[in-house]
Amino acid sequence: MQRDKVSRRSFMKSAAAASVAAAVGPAIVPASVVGRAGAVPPSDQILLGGIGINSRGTHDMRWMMEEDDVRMIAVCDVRKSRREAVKAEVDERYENSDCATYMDLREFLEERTDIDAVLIATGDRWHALASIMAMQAGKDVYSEKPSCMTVAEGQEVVKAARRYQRVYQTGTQRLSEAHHVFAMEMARTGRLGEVHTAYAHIAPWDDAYMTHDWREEESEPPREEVDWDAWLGPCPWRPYNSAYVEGGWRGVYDFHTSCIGEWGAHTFAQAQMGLNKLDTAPVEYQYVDNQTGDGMVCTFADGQRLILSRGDQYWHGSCGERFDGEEGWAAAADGYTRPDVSSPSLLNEYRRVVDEYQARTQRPMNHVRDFFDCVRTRRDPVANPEVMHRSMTTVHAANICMWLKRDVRFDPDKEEFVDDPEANRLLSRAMREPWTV
Amino acid sequence: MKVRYVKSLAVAAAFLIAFAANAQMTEAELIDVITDSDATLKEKSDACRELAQVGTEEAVPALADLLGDEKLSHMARYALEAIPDPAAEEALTEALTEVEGAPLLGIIASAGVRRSEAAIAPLSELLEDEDADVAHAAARALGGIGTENAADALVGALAEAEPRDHLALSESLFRCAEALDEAGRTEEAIALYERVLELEPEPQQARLGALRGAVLTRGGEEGLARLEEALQSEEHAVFATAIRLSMELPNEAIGEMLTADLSGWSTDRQLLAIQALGERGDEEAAPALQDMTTEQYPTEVRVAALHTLTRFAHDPVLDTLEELVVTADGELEQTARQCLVGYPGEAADDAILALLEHEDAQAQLAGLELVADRNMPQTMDVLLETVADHPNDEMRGAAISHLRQTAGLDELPALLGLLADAPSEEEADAIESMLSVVCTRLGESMGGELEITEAVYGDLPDGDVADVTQDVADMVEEGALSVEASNANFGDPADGTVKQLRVDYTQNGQPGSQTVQEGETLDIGMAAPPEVVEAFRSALAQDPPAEAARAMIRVLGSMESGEAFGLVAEYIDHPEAGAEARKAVVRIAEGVGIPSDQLVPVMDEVADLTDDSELADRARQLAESGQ
Repeated sequence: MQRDKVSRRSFMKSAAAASVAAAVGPAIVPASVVGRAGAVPPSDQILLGGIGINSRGTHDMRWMMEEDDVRMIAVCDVRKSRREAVKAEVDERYENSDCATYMDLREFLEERTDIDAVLIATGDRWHALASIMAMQAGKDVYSEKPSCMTVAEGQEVVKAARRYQRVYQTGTQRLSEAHHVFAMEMARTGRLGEVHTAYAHIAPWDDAYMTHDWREEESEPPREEVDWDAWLGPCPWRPYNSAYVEGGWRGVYDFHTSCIGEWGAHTFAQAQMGLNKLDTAPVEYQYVDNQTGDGMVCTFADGQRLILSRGDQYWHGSCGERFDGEEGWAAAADGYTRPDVSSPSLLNEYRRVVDEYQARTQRPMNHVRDFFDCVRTRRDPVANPEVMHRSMTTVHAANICMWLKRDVRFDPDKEEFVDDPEANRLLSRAMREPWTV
Repeated sequence: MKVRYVKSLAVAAAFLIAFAANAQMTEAELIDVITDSDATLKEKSDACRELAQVGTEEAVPALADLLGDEKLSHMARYALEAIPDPAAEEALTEALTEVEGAPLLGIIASAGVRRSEAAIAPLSELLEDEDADVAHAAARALGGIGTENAADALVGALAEAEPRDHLALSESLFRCAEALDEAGRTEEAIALYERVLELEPEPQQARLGALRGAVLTRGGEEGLARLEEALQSEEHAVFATAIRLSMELPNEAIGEMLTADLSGWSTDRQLLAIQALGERGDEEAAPALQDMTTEQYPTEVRVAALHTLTRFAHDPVLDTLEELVVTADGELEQTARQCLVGYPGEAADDAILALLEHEDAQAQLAGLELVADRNMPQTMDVLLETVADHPNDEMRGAAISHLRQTAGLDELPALLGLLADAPSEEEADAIESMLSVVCTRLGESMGGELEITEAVYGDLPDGDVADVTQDVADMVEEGALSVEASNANFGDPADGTVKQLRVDYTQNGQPGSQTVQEGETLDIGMAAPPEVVEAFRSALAQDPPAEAARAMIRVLGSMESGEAFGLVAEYIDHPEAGAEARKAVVRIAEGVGIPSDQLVPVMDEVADLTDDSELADRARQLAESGQ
């Protein structure tokens, strides 16, 4: 049975909500932006499933459940404790016991043909594969970041979204936050003069090299409790240790994209959006002799530079970006009451810049709302597959530059390193059986 | 046994040496590791990972031997997939017919990644495997290879395929079709999409994917005809696919298709189509969209049309937006306001300014808000003129409120003029408050230049001290300093004594000095920029009304600035503003270090002139500290 379930009261509501946001000016984006006025009939709801919902995923899930036209109905997780915790929270919210639980992703995707969209928050190692599988199963996807482990995985996400006409949004939510949009638009629209440099924040913990070590083996729990083999997914096998499944996978080469990917997944996209370079990647990466990539200069074909920064000299919060132009600079980071600018008069543009952006793009200042609007309208969200892939390509190339401890050159058209077979070997990794894209 | 022992020792030694030297092992050493039966799983896994980086054909045989090993097959492929030598492909192809069980699934996948033509035959056989996982993996691998031969094998398998196989086969055919299309084999590619469309029962997502492929690959009139057909489909999923396709194709005819039926479609479809027209930039649709902003359409459709027309900068919509700001409420009014503020180009400026002339007071207020929000070239002039001349109290109040948020240095003289001309005490208070906010903002944003000339920490004035000038200078941020006098910050140059921190500095070229006890925090706030104080100097020189002069001095008194101190000090014996000035200089001096040669005479004079005994005491204390 086909459903003609596009809500007639859906996507333009968000634009109205966004105008409320902009009316407030630079100081505050109110909570009213997040929700939409009025109720959405149940028949119009977007049915949502969750895959690998832990701490960040729970944050996303709560955010999504705030949307009146969204209903979370099932969760799939290899950990029993997480399945049960998510089900309990969802059931409590809806005051029923309807949230279904699944342990096996393939079974979940095959059985739940009623689900329209999935939230994926498994951790880096599974993001791309789960997204591809979900899109092949006909689901729209909101995937947490970093959304792919290699350049090749990113390419496959793009292809899957195109093949199956899926809406895909990566969780780089700052692309939908007014302060960041202001900074990015100030750069993109030339209000800062010719922009020569963007700075992007990388995570101030872990390093670029990560470890190959195995933690001490612990006895593997029953599969029903933790399906370790499924948790590992496409990654190389290693013995079980509970620390991995409790978040201790960060900093591990097989599972993580390093301190560069941890925040670069956000901030490179922010920087590249401001530089109007979301359809390409830097062509040169200068190795820096440290453990983290701090200070690495990545240069685009036209000479614009993206500089990685671990410290807080360019902002005073997390996940910041800054744009330096011939006539001024603008920066934003988490926790700002207003963006940082070189001249206070630039802030007088705040409301206009944000509203112009919204008039041009028709996007709300709410990342999950943008996703759900696009689920209905079938257009691409702001952090669509190409945006994810291009910004993550910058992440991967910067990581590879560090791993090889030398400068590298990249061809964004061919999507390979230039005359550099050693670097090109790092563009993909074989997936562990039975997983494949 | 003895030989093996010796060999494993050598492997262990090689690992240790490589580890100690932080260097990679050679390929030969890595091969030794993976062929050593005594090497651990971890060692072999790591060696495979290294071989993915440095391996050549030399490593292929040893890696191939691991392909059937359930524990190491993946890591062997991890290396083989990356080794560019054709021997790697050959090893994978050979293993397709030799390996069974779980490792076979991985080998099939790797053969697909390597796009090995030689693997087509064995993969074609595996398409018929009883194990569905094997058959599906083989299909995907053939799709990855993507040649005509691979496609033939897949199409052949379709005839016998069960419904459970359809999705894997469709995915594989899509990959083949993409590869063939890229190679210029358009007809073959189209045929594959059409073949997927014939599947019965078809997976819906595959059918929609095939529809997309068929339209895009055909292109031209034929592709458009297919798209038009999809737009007429009763089935929403097909219609939605057509809408998405319309956003992928630049063809102008699609805009006409979307527009032609627009008014007749259901509201749901109208919303999607309007969005698509905006996304595509089909400005020819503007007249039709303009019609959809009228009352005969549901609010959501009107809102969508307004947004899209704004996106197009379709100027006739400006009248509609202006009218809606005045007459509508709720979502429509908010949309109209947002569209006017964000409207591309200058045409919206006139529409907004016209609201200021509207007969309705609320419309004027809305216009003023829009003037401020849009930050037009005329914005500051309009706001200042409104405060100066507008007969409506509410309008003047709103303008003051907007100026409070946006006025800068350029507007400062005019703001001071407004203070002088304020028509009422209440409005003067509002302007004074606004001036304080503006000056604070200017101080924060323009900063003063703070240079630390000397800083010492220790047993002042004559005991042991440490020169901490550089330490303190490093703590200056954005023209301000906040530092605790503590051993934690500066060490302990005078054990057993209660130490002091003295910082000598210049701010905007004006010298200053502050001293605090151990445990206290020394703060040097951001100084008001000299230009700000100069604006006040000019305004005061024009002999404003007494109340305005007092208000200006009060605002100056809130600045932590040597320049402000100097200016206010000139007024401490002023007949009408003197009392305010005396309070202000004491307040400034208590907040910022004023050089004693300036501070002492002023404080002495304040103490002499004031009738306020408490203020006189504070002035004397400051004078004594300066001496």
